[in-house]
Amino acid sequence: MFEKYIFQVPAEFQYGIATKSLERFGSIIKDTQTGKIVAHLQETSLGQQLVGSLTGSPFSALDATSSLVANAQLARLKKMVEGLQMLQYANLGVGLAGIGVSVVGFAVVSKKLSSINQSLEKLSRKIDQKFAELYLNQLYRDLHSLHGVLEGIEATKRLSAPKAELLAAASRLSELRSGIRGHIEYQLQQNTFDEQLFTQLTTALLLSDNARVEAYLLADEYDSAHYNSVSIADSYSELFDELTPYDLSQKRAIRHQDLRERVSGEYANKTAGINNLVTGLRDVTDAAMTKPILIEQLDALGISGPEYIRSLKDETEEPVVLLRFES
Amino acid sequence: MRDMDLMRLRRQILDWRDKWLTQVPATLEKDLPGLIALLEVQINHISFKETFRTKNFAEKHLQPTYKCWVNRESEQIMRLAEKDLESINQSILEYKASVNEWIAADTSLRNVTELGLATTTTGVALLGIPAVATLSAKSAGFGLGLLGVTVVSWPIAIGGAAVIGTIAVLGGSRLSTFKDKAIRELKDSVGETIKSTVLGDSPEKPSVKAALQNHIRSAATAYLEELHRV
Repeated sequence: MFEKYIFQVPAEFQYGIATKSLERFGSIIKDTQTGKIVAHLQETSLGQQLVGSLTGSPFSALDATSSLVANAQLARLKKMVEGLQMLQYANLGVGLAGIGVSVVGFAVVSKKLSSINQSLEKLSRKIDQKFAELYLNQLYRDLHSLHGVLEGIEATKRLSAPKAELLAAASRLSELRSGIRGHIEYQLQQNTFDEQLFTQLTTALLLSDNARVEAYLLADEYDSAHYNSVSIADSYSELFDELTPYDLSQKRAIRHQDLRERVSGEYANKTAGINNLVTGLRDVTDAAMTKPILIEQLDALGISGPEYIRSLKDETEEPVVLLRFES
Repeated sequence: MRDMDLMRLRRQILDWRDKWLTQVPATLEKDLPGLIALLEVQINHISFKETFRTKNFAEKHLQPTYKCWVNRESEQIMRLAEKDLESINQSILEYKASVNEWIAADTSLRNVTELGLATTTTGVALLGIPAVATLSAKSAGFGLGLLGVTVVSWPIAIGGAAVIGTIAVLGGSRLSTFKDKAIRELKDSVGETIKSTVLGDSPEKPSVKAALQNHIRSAATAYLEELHRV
Protein backbone atom coordinates (compact mmCIF):
# COMPACT_ATOMS: atom_id res chain seq x y z
CA MET A 1 0.00 0.00 0.00
CA PHE A 2 2.68 2.50 0.89
CA GLU A 3 4.78 1.92 -2.25
CA LYS A 4 3.20 5.08 -3.64
CA TYR A 5 5.25 7.08 -1.14
CA ILE A 6 8.33 6.82 -3.22
CA PHE A 7 11.61 5.77 -1.67
CA GLN A 8 14.42 8.08 -2.54
CA VAL A 9 18.06 7.61 -1.76
CA PRO A 10 19.76 10.25 0.41
CA ALA A 11 22.03 11.35 -2.47
CA GLU A 12 19.04 13.03 -4.07
CA PHE A 13 18.98 15.47 -1.21
CA GLN A 14 22.69 16.18 -1.33
CA TYR A 15 22.34 19.50 -3.13
CA GLY A 16 19.68 20.81 -0.76
CA ILE A 17 21.67 19.87 2.33
CA ALA A 18 24.88 21.32 0.86
CA THR A 19 23.20 24.61 0.01
CA LYS A 20 21.33 24.64 3.33
CA SER A 21 17.96 24.88 1.63
CA LEU A 22 17.25 21.58 3.36
CA GLU A 23 18.13 20.68 6.92
CA ARG A 24 18.20 17.35 8.70
CA PHE A 25 17.08 17.09 12.28
CA GLY A 26 16.82 13.67 13.87
CA SER A 27 15.31 11.48 11.17
CA ILE A 28 13.54 14.32 9.42
CA ILE A 29 14.54 16.51 6.50
CA LYS A 30 12.81 19.85 6.38
CA ASP A 31 12.79 22.86 4.14
CA THR A 32 14.70 25.61 5.92
CA GLN A 33 12.56 28.36 4.38
CA THR A 34 9.07 26.99 4.91
CA GLY A 35 9.85 24.73 7.85
CA LYS A 36 7.85 21.98 6.19
CA ILE A 37 8.91 18.38 6.51
CA VAL A 38 9.99 17.20 3.07
CA ALA A 39 11.01 13.66 3.93
CA HIS A 40 11.54 11.12 6.69
CA LEU A 41 14.76 9.13 6.83
CA GLN A 42 14.16 5.44 7.29
CA GLU A 43 16.68 2.69 7.76
CA THR A 44 16.18 -0.64 6.03
CA SER A 45 17.08 -4.14 7.05
CA LEU A 46 20.28 -3.76 5.01
CA GLY A 47 21.25 -0.67 7.02
CA GLN A 48 20.87 -2.54 10.29
CA GLN A 49 22.91 -5.46 8.95
CA LEU A 50 25.70 -3.05 8.11
CA VAL A 51 25.60 -1.36 11.52
CA GLY A 52 25.59 -4.83 13.08
CA SER A 53 28.65 -5.89 11.09
CA LEU A 54 30.84 -3.31 12.81
CA THR A 55 33.14 -4.64 15.46
CA GLY A 56 34.20 -1.36 17.04
CA SER A 57 32.17 1.09 19.10
CA PRO A 58 29.08 2.36 17.28
CA PHE A 59 29.99 5.77 18.63
CA SER A 60 33.25 6.03 16.70
CA ALA A 61 33.52 8.85 14.19
CA LEU A 62 32.03 8.01 10.81
CA ASP A 63 34.78 6.50 8.72
CA ALA A 64 34.19 3.38 6.69
CA THR A 65 37.83 2.47 6.44
CA SER A 66 38.39 2.46 10.19
CA SER A 67 35.72 -0.10 10.90
CA LEU A 68 36.48 -3.78 10.72
CA VAL A 69 33.84 -5.18 8.47
CA ALA A 70 33.58 -8.15 6.19
CA ASN A 71 35.07 -7.37 2.76
CA ALA A 72 31.87 -8.26 0.96
CA GLN A 73 30.03 -5.55 2.85
CA LEU A 74 32.70 -2.90 2.69
CA ALA A 75 31.38 -1.23 -0.45
CA ARG A 76 27.85 -1.11 0.92
CA LEU A 77 29.03 0.17 4.28
CA LYS A 78 31.10 2.83 2.55
CA LYS A 79 28.00 3.92 0.68
CA MET A 80 26.00 4.06 3.90
CA VAL A 81 28.70 5.99 5.73
CA GLU A 82 28.94 8.48 2.88
CA GLY A 83 25.17 8.90 2.91
CA LEU A 84 25.13 9.52 6.67
CA GLN A 85 28.10 11.88 6.46
CA MET A 86 26.27 13.85 3.81
CA LEU A 87 23.30 14.01 6.18
CA GLN A 88 25.66 15.30 8.89
CA TYR A 89 25.40 12.44 11.36
CA ALA A 90 28.38 12.17 13.72
CA ASN A 91 28.61 8.40 13.85
CA LEU A 92 26.72 5.14 13.40
CA GLY A 93 25.44 5.25 16.99
CA VAL A 94 22.22 6.67 15.62
CA GLY A 95 21.65 3.31 13.90
CA LEU A 96 21.21 1.82 17.37
CA ALA A 97 18.32 4.14 18.09
CA GLY A 98 16.80 3.42 14.71
CA ILE A 99 16.76 5.88 11.86
CA GLY A 100 13.02 6.17 11.44
CA VAL A 101 11.46 3.13 13.06
CA SER A 102 13.74 0.19 13.72
CA VAL A 103 13.44 -2.86 11.52
CA VAL A 104 16.34 -4.72 13.05
CA GLY A 105 14.40 -7.87 13.85
CA PHE A 106 14.27 -9.58 17.23
CA ALA A 107 16.68 -12.40 16.40
CA VAL A 108 19.36 -9.86 15.50
CA VAL A 109 18.75 -7.82 18.65
CA SER A 110 18.89 -10.98 20.70
CA LYS A 111 22.22 -11.93 19.12
CA LYS A 112 23.61 -8.46 19.79
CA LEU A 113 22.58 -8.70 23.43
CA SER A 114 24.43 -12.01 23.74
CA SER A 115 27.49 -10.29 22.41
CA ILE A 116 27.06 -7.48 24.96
CA ASN A 117 26.79 -10.05 27.72
CA GLN A 118 30.07 -11.66 26.62
CA SER A 119 31.79 -8.26 26.51
CA LEU A 120 30.56 -7.46 30.01
CA GLU A 121 31.89 -10.76 31.30
CA LYS A 122 35.33 -9.94 29.90
CA LEU A 123 35.07 -6.45 31.30
CA SER A 124 34.07 -7.63 34.74
CA ARG A 125 37.31 -9.63 35.03
CA LYS A 126 39.20 -6.36 34.75
CA ILE A 127 37.05 -4.27 37.02
CA ASP A 128 35.61 -6.75 39.47
CA GLN A 129 37.16 -4.94 42.41
CA LYS A 130 34.96 -1.96 41.60
CA PHE A 131 31.74 -3.86 41.37
CA ALA A 132 29.78 -5.45 44.08
CA GLU A 133 28.95 -9.05 43.24
CA LEU A 134 25.27 -8.32 43.67
CA TYR A 135 25.40 -5.54 41.13
CA LEU A 136 26.95 -7.73 38.47
CA ASN A 137 24.52 -10.54 39.15
CA GLN A 138 21.61 -8.18 38.75
CA LEU A 139 23.05 -6.85 35.51
CA TYR A 140 23.43 -10.35 34.05
CA ARG A 141 19.93 -11.27 35.18
CA ASP A 142 18.46 -8.23 33.47
CA LEU A 143 20.32 -8.84 30.21
CA HIS A 144 19.37 -12.53 30.20
CA SER A 145 15.72 -11.66 30.81
CA LEU A 146 15.88 -9.23 27.93
CA HIS A 147 17.40 -11.92 25.77
CA GLY A 148 14.63 -14.32 26.75
CA VAL A 149 11.85 -11.87 25.87
CA LEU A 150 13.40 -11.17 22.46
CA GLU A 151 13.67 -14.88 21.70
CA GLY A 152 10.02 -15.19 22.68
CA ILE A 153 9.05 -12.44 20.23
CA GLU A 154 11.03 -14.13 17.48
CA ALA A 155 9.02 -17.30 18.11
CA THR A 156 5.76 -15.41 17.47
CA LYS A 157 6.65 -15.42 13.77
CA ARG A 158 5.31 -18.95 13.65
CA LEU A 159 1.94 -17.91 15.05
CA SER A 160 -0.91 -17.12 12.69
CA ALA A 161 -2.22 -14.35 14.99
CA PRO A 162 0.70 -13.15 17.16
CA LYS A 163 -0.80 -9.85 18.30
CA ALA A 164 -1.43 -10.80 21.94
CA GLU A 165 2.08 -12.28 22.28
CA LEU A 166 3.67 -9.22 20.70
CA LEU A 167 1.84 -6.88 23.06
CA ALA A 168 2.77 -8.96 26.09
CA ALA A 169 6.41 -9.04 25.04
CA ALA A 170 6.47 -5.29 24.39
CA SER A 171 5.07 -4.68 27.83
CA ARG A 172 7.74 -6.94 29.37
CA LEU A 173 10.45 -5.08 27.43
CA SER A 174 9.19 -1.87 28.97
CA GLU A 175 9.64 -3.31 32.48
CA LEU A 176 13.11 -4.65 31.72
CA ARG A 177 14.36 -1.37 30.28
CA SER A 178 13.88 0.24 33.67
CA GLY A 179 16.52 -2.13 35.03
CA ILE A 180 18.96 -1.33 32.23
CA ARG A 181 18.36 2.37 32.66
CA GLY A 182 19.03 1.97 36.38
CA HIS A 183 22.40 0.38 35.57
CA ILE A 184 23.29 3.31 33.31
CA GLU A 185 22.27 5.85 35.93
CA TYR A 186 24.34 3.99 38.50
CA GLN A 187 27.36 4.17 36.20
CA LEU A 188 26.86 7.87 35.66
CA GLN A 189 26.70 8.53 39.39
CA GLN A 190 30.18 7.11 39.91
CA ASN A 191 33.17 9.39 40.29
CA THR A 192 34.88 7.67 37.40
CA PHE A 193 33.61 6.90 33.91
CA ASP A 194 34.02 3.56 32.19
CA GLU A 195 33.37 4.32 28.55
CA GLN A 196 33.30 0.70 27.44
CA LEU A 197 30.79 -0.43 30.05
CA PHE A 198 28.62 2.64 29.50
CA THR A 199 28.59 2.05 25.73
CA GLN A 200 27.57 -1.59 26.20
CA LEU A 201 24.76 -0.74 28.62
CA THR A 202 23.52 2.09 26.42
CA THR A 203 23.54 -0.21 23.39
CA ALA A 204 21.42 -2.72 25.31
CA LEU A 205 18.97 0.03 26.27
CA LEU A 206 18.64 1.35 22.72
CA LEU A 207 18.22 -2.13 21.24
CA SER A 208 15.50 -3.10 23.67
CA ASP A 209 13.66 0.20 23.09
CA ASN A 210 13.79 -0.33 19.34
CA ALA A 211 12.49 -3.84 19.72
CA ARG A 212 9.58 -2.58 21.81
CA VAL A 213 8.43 -0.04 19.23
CA GLU A 214 8.91 -2.59 16.45
CA ALA A 215 6.75 -5.10 18.38
CA TYR A 216 3.93 -2.55 18.67
CA LEU A 217 4.15 -1.75 14.97
CA LEU A 218 4.09 -5.45 14.08
CA ALA A 219 1.00 -5.74 16.26
CA ASP A 220 -0.40 -2.79 14.28
CA GLU A 221 -0.88 -0.85 17.52
CA TYR A 222 0.02 2.65 16.43
CA ASP A 223 -1.25 4.37 19.58
CA SER A 224 1.00 2.25 21.78
CA ALA A 225 3.93 2.57 19.38
CA HIS A 226 3.50 6.32 19.46
CA TYR A 227 3.08 6.57 23.22
CA ASN A 228 6.14 4.42 23.82
CA SER A 229 8.28 6.27 21.30
CA VAL A 230 7.45 9.59 22.99
CA SER A 231 8.30 8.13 26.38
CA ILE A 232 11.56 6.68 25.05
CA ALA A 233 12.59 10.06 23.60
CA ASP A 234 11.86 11.80 26.92
CA SER A 235 13.89 9.19 28.73
CA TYR A 236 16.92 9.68 26.43
CA SER A 237 16.70 13.41 26.96
CA GLU A 238 16.63 12.96 30.76
CA LEU A 239 19.46 10.47 30.68
CA PHE A 240 21.83 11.97 28.10
CA ASP A 241 21.24 15.74 28.06
CA GLU A 242 23.21 16.21 31.27
CA LEU A 243 26.27 14.42 29.88
CA THR A 244 29.01 16.65 28.58
CA PRO A 245 32.30 15.70 26.92
CA TYR A 246 34.17 17.80 29.50
CA ASP A 247 32.65 16.09 32.56
CA LEU A 248 33.01 12.58 31.12
CA SER A 249 36.62 13.25 30.11
CA GLN A 250 37.38 14.46 33.63
CA LYS A 251 35.84 11.35 35.17
CA ARG A 252 37.62 9.17 32.68
CA ALA A 253 40.92 10.87 33.45
CA ILE A 254 40.50 9.98 37.13
CA ARG A 255 39.96 6.37 36.13
CA HIS A 256 43.08 6.27 34.01
CA GLN A 257 45.30 8.45 36.13
CA ASP A 258 47.62 5.61 36.98
CA LEU A 259 47.50 3.80 33.70
CA ARG A 260 50.21 3.78 31.11
CA GLU A 261 47.86 4.95 28.38
CA ARG A 262 47.79 8.37 30.02
CA VAL A 263 51.51 8.64 29.50
CA SER A 264 51.54 7.03 26.08
CA GLY A 265 49.11 9.49 24.53
CA GLU A 266 46.36 6.94 24.09
CA TYR A 267 44.44 8.92 26.68
CA ALA A 268 44.17 11.90 24.32
CA ASN A 269 42.68 9.71 21.59
CA LYS A 270 40.12 8.32 23.95
CA THR A 271 39.14 11.83 25.04
CA ALA A 272 38.36 12.50 21.39
CA GLY A 273 36.32 9.27 21.57
CA ILE A 274 34.22 10.77 24.35
CA ASN A 275 33.38 13.73 22.12
CA ASN A 276 32.13 11.27 19.51
CA LEU A 277 30.20 9.36 22.15
CA VAL A 278 28.35 12.45 23.40
CA THR A 279 27.66 13.72 19.89
CA GLY A 280 26.38 10.24 19.00
CA LEU A 281 24.07 10.27 22.03
CA ARG A 282 22.73 13.67 20.99
CA ASP A 283 22.00 12.27 17.52
CA VAL A 284 20.34 9.26 19.13
CA THR A 285 18.12 11.53 21.24
CA ASP A 286 17.23 13.71 18.25
CA ALA A 287 16.35 10.62 16.20
CA ALA A 288 14.19 9.31 19.06
CA MET A 289 12.43 12.69 19.36
CA THR A 290 11.45 12.69 15.69
CA LYS A 291 10.36 9.04 15.60
CA PRO A 292 6.84 9.75 16.95
CA ILE A 293 6.31 12.17 14.06
CA LEU A 294 6.93 9.38 11.53
CA ILE A 295 4.65 7.00 13.45
CA GLU A 296 1.86 9.59 13.44
CA GLN A 297 2.34 10.06 9.72
CA LEU A 298 2.19 6.33 8.98
CA ASP A 299 -0.93 6.00 11.12
CA ALA A 300 -2.61 9.00 9.51
CA LEU A 301 -2.00 7.53 6.08
CA GLY A 302 -3.44 4.18 7.11
CA ILE A 303 -0.26 2.26 6.36
CA SER A 304 -0.27 -1.11 8.07
CA GLY A 305 2.55 -1.53 10.60
CA PRO A 306 3.42 -5.11 9.64
CA GLU A 307 3.37 -4.19 5.96
CA TYR A 308 5.67 -1.22 6.54
CA ILE A 309 8.18 -3.31 8.46
CA ARG A 310 8.03 -6.07 5.82
CA SER A 311 8.73 -3.66 2.97
CA LEU A 312 11.78 -2.29 4.75
CA LYS A 313 13.03 -5.76 5.50
CA ASP A 314 12.73 -6.63 1.79
CA GLU A 315 14.84 -3.67 0.70
CA THR A 316 18.19 -5.03 -0.46
CA GLU A 317 19.81 -2.11 -2.29
CA GLU A 318 19.60 0.90 0.02
CA PRO A 319 20.65 0.93 3.70
CA VAL A 320 18.75 4.19 4.35
CA VAL A 321 15.86 5.50 2.31
CA LEU A 322 13.78 8.65 2.34
CA LEU A 323 10.02 8.68 2.52
CA ARG A 324 8.00 11.50 1.06
CA PHE A 325 4.42 11.57 2.17
CA GLU A 326 3.26 14.71 0.42
CA SER A 327 0.49 14.23 -2.07
CA MET B 1 9.09 18.59 23.53
CA ARG B 2 7.36 17.74 20.27
CA ASP B 3 7.88 20.75 18.09
CA MET B 4 10.78 20.40 15.66
CA ASP B 5 11.91 24.01 16.09
CA LEU B 6 12.08 23.52 19.83
CA MET B 7 13.95 20.24 19.37
CA ARG B 8 16.51 21.95 17.17
CA LEU B 9 16.93 24.84 19.64
CA ARG B 10 17.38 22.35 22.48
CA ARG B 11 20.17 20.65 20.55
CA GLN B 12 21.83 23.99 19.79
CA ILE B 13 21.81 24.93 23.47
CA LEU B 14 23.32 21.59 24.49
CA ASP B 15 26.00 21.88 21.81
CA TRP B 16 26.77 25.43 22.96
CA ARG B 17 27.09 24.30 26.58
CA ASP B 18 29.31 21.33 25.63
CA LYS B 19 31.54 23.54 23.49
CA TRP B 20 32.06 26.22 26.13
CA LEU B 21 32.57 23.83 29.03
CA THR B 22 35.60 22.62 27.08
CA GLN B 23 36.53 26.02 25.72
CA VAL B 24 36.78 27.66 29.17
CA PRO B 25 39.65 25.48 30.49
CA ALA B 26 41.31 25.40 27.07
CA THR B 27 41.44 29.21 26.92
CA LEU B 28 42.57 29.58 30.52
CA GLU B 29 45.30 26.97 30.05
CA LYS B 30 46.50 28.71 26.92
CA ASP B 31 46.61 32.17 28.53
CA LEU B 32 47.80 31.27 32.03
CA PRO B 33 51.53 31.24 31.17
CA GLY B 34 51.15 34.91 30.21
CA LEU B 35 49.90 35.79 33.69
CA ILE B 36 52.61 33.76 35.37
CA ALA B 37 55.27 35.48 33.26
CA LEU B 38 53.83 38.87 34.23
CA LEU B 39 53.91 37.99 37.93
CA GLU B 40 57.45 36.69 37.63
CA VAL B 41 58.60 40.01 36.19
CA GLN B 42 57.16 41.71 39.26
CA ILE B 43 58.74 39.18 41.59
CA ASN B 44 62.12 39.88 39.95
CA HIS B 45 61.84 43.43 41.23
CA ILE B 46 61.26 42.46 44.84
CA SER B 47 63.60 44.23 47.25
CA PHE B 48 65.67 42.37 49.81
CA LYS B 49 63.55 43.88 52.58
CA GLU B 50 60.35 42.75 50.91
CA THR B 51 61.50 39.13 50.89
CA PHE B 52 60.79 39.17 54.61
CA ARG B 53 57.23 40.33 54.06
CA THR B 54 56.10 38.40 51.03
CA LYS B 55 52.47 38.59 52.11
CA ASN B 56 52.50 42.38 51.90
CA PHE B 57 54.39 42.24 48.60
CA ALA B 58 51.85 39.82 47.16
CA GLU B 59 48.89 41.90 48.24
CA LYS B 60 50.41 45.13 46.97
CA HIS B 61 51.95 44.01 43.68
CA LEU B 62 50.72 40.56 42.65
CA GLN B 63 47.09 40.54 43.69
CA PRO B 64 46.11 43.58 41.53
CA THR B 65 47.80 42.00 38.50
CA TYR B 66 45.99 38.73 39.13
CA LYS B 67 42.60 40.42 39.59
CA CYS B 68 43.07 42.49 36.48
CA TRP B 69 44.02 39.40 34.44
CA VAL B 70 41.10 37.31 35.75
CA ASN B 71 38.60 40.06 35.01
CA ARG B 72 39.93 40.64 31.52
CA GLU B 73 40.18 36.93 30.76
CA SER B 74 36.71 36.14 32.11
CA GLU B 75 35.10 39.01 30.28
CA GLN B 76 36.75 37.94 27.07
CA ILE B 77 35.62 34.31 27.43
CA MET B 78 32.09 35.25 28.41
CA ARG B 79 31.84 37.80 25.63
CA LEU B 80 32.74 35.14 23.07
CA ALA B 81 30.37 32.62 24.68
CA GLU B 82 27.60 35.19 24.66
CA LYS B 83 28.25 36.05 21.03
CA ASP B 84 27.97 32.37 20.24
CA LEU B 85 24.64 32.31 22.02
CA GLU B 86 23.20 35.31 20.19
CA SER B 87 21.91 33.31 17.21
CA ILE B 88 20.17 30.86 19.55
CA ASN B 89 18.66 33.73 21.49
CA GLN B 90 17.47 35.29 18.26
CA SER B 91 15.92 31.98 17.17
CA ILE B 92 14.05 31.68 20.48
CA LEU B 93 12.80 35.22 20.08
CA GLU B 94 11.63 34.56 16.53
CA TYR B 95 10.07 31.28 17.56
CA LYS B 96 8.12 32.90 20.38
CA ALA B 97 7.01 35.67 18.12
CA SER B 98 5.80 33.15 15.56
CA VAL B 99 3.93 31.19 18.22
CA ASN B 100 2.19 34.35 19.39
CA GLU B 101 1.27 35.43 15.87
CA TRP B 102 0.03 31.99 15.12
CA ILE B 103 -2.14 31.83 18.21
CA ALA B 104 -3.51 35.30 17.65
CA ALA B 105 -4.23 34.75 13.98
CA ASP B 106 -5.64 31.30 13.84
CA THR B 107 -5.89 28.42 16.25
CA SER B 108 -7.07 25.90 13.70
CA LEU B 109 -4.93 22.84 13.14
CA ARG B 110 -4.44 23.75 9.50
CA ASN B 111 -1.92 26.39 10.51
CA VAL B 112 0.10 23.86 12.44
CA THR B 113 1.03 22.16 9.20
CA GLU B 114 1.80 25.43 7.49
CA LEU B 115 4.23 26.33 10.22
CA GLY B 116 6.03 23.06 9.77
CA LEU B 117 5.10 21.95 13.25
CA ALA B 118 4.99 18.37 12.17
CA THR B 119 1.71 17.01 13.42
CA THR B 120 -1.70 17.88 14.58
CA THR B 121 -1.12 16.55 18.09
CA THR B 122 1.91 18.80 18.45
CA GLY B 123 -0.28 21.77 17.72
CA VAL B 124 -2.86 20.67 20.22
CA ALA B 125 -0.18 20.27 22.85
CA LEU B 126 1.10 23.76 22.21
CA LEU B 127 -2.32 25.28 22.32
CA GLY B 128 -2.97 23.56 25.58
CA ILE B 129 -0.11 25.23 27.39
CA PRO B 130 -1.44 28.34 29.15
CA ALA B 131 2.00 29.94 29.47
CA VAL B 132 2.19 30.44 25.72
CA ALA B 133 -0.37 33.21 25.82
CA THR B 134 1.64 35.27 28.30
CA LEU B 135 4.91 35.11 26.41
CA SER B 136 6.05 38.12 24.50
CA ALA B 137 8.86 38.58 22.05
CA LYS B 138 10.59 40.78 24.61
CA SER B 139 10.87 38.01 27.15
CA ALA B 140 13.08 36.00 24.84
CA GLY B 141 15.91 38.38 25.60
CA PHE B 142 16.16 37.05 29.13
CA GLY B 143 19.24 35.01 28.46
CA LEU B 144 21.76 37.56 27.39
CA GLY B 145 22.16 38.95 30.87
CA LEU B 146 23.00 35.53 32.22
CA LEU B 147 26.58 35.66 31.15
CA GLY B 148 27.53 38.99 32.65
CA VAL B 149 30.72 38.50 34.61
CA THR B 150 29.89 41.03 37.28
CA VAL B 151 27.92 38.53 39.31
CA VAL B 152 30.76 36.06 39.47
CA SER B 153 32.86 36.23 42.62
CA TRP B 154 36.38 35.35 41.72
CA PRO B 155 38.51 33.14 43.91
CA ILE B 156 41.22 35.08 45.66
CA ALA B 157 44.50 33.69 44.49
CA ILE B 158 47.30 35.32 46.33
CA GLY B 159 46.90 35.75 50.04
CA GLY B 160 49.45 35.44 52.82
CA ALA B 161 49.14 31.67 52.99
CA ALA B 162 49.87 31.31 49.33
CA VAL B 163 53.40 32.55 49.46
CA ILE B 164 56.41 31.46 51.38
CA GLY B 165 56.94 32.80 54.86
CA THR B 166 59.75 34.83 56.29
CA ILE B 167 63.14 33.41 55.48
CA ALA B 168 65.89 33.20 58.08
CA VAL B 169 68.45 35.99 57.95
CA LEU B 170 71.91 34.94 56.90
CA GLY B 171 75.32 36.63 56.87
CA GLY B 172 76.12 39.70 54.64
CA SER B 173 78.20 37.97 51.96
CA ARG B 174 75.44 35.54 51.25
CA LEU B 175 72.67 38.13 50.96
CA SER B 176 72.62 38.10 47.18
CA THR B 177 72.37 34.31 47.04
CA PHE B 178 69.71 34.46 49.68
CA LYS B 179 67.63 36.94 47.69
CA ASP B 180 67.92 34.80 44.54
CA LYS B 181 66.74 31.79 46.47
CA ALA B 182 63.83 33.76 47.95
CA ILE B 183 62.79 34.94 44.49
CA ARG B 184 62.98 31.40 43.11
CA GLU B 185 60.86 30.04 45.91
CA LEU B 186 58.36 32.87 45.66
CA LYS B 187 57.98 32.26 41.93
CA ASP B 188 57.40 28.55 42.49
CA SER B 189 54.95 29.18 45.27
CA VAL B 190 52.99 31.83 43.35
CA GLY B 191 53.04 29.73 40.15
CA GLU B 192 51.57 26.70 41.91
CA THR B 193 48.95 28.76 43.73
CA ILE B 194 47.90 30.57 40.58
CA LYS B 195 47.56 27.30 38.63
CA SER B 196 45.32 25.72 41.23
CA THR B 197 43.29 28.90 41.74
CA VAL B 198 42.67 29.36 38.04
CA LEU B 199 42.40 25.75 36.87
CA GLY B 200 41.91 23.67 40.02
CA ASP B 201 39.24 20.99 40.45
CA SER B 202 38.86 21.02 44.23
CA PRO B 203 35.20 21.21 45.26
CA GLU B 204 36.25 22.96 48.49
CA LYS B 205 38.11 25.73 46.66
CA PRO B 206 36.24 26.55 43.46
CA SER B 207 38.60 27.83 40.77
CA VAL B 208 38.14 30.52 38.14
CA LYS B 209 37.56 27.70 35.65
CA ALA B 210 34.82 26.17 37.82
CA ALA B 211 33.17 29.58 38.35
CA LEU B 212 33.04 30.26 34.61
CA GLN B 213 31.85 26.74 33.84
CA ASN B 214 29.08 27.05 36.42
CA HIS B 215 28.00 30.22 34.69
CA ILE B 216 27.85 28.40 31.36
CA ARG B 217 25.87 25.54 32.90
CA SER B 218 23.42 27.91 34.60
CA ALA B 219 22.84 29.83 31.39
CA ALA B 220 22.24 26.60 29.42
CA THR B 221 19.85 25.32 32.10
CA ALA B 222 17.93 28.61 32.07
CA TYR B 223 17.61 28.45 28.29
CA LEU B 224 16.43 24.83 28.36
CA GLU B 225 13.87 25.66 31.05
CA GLU B 226 12.66 28.55 28.95
CA LEU B 227 12.16 26.18 26.01
CA HIS B 228 10.15 23.83 28.19
CA ARG B 229 7.92 26.72 29.19
CA VAL B 230 7.06 27.57 25.58
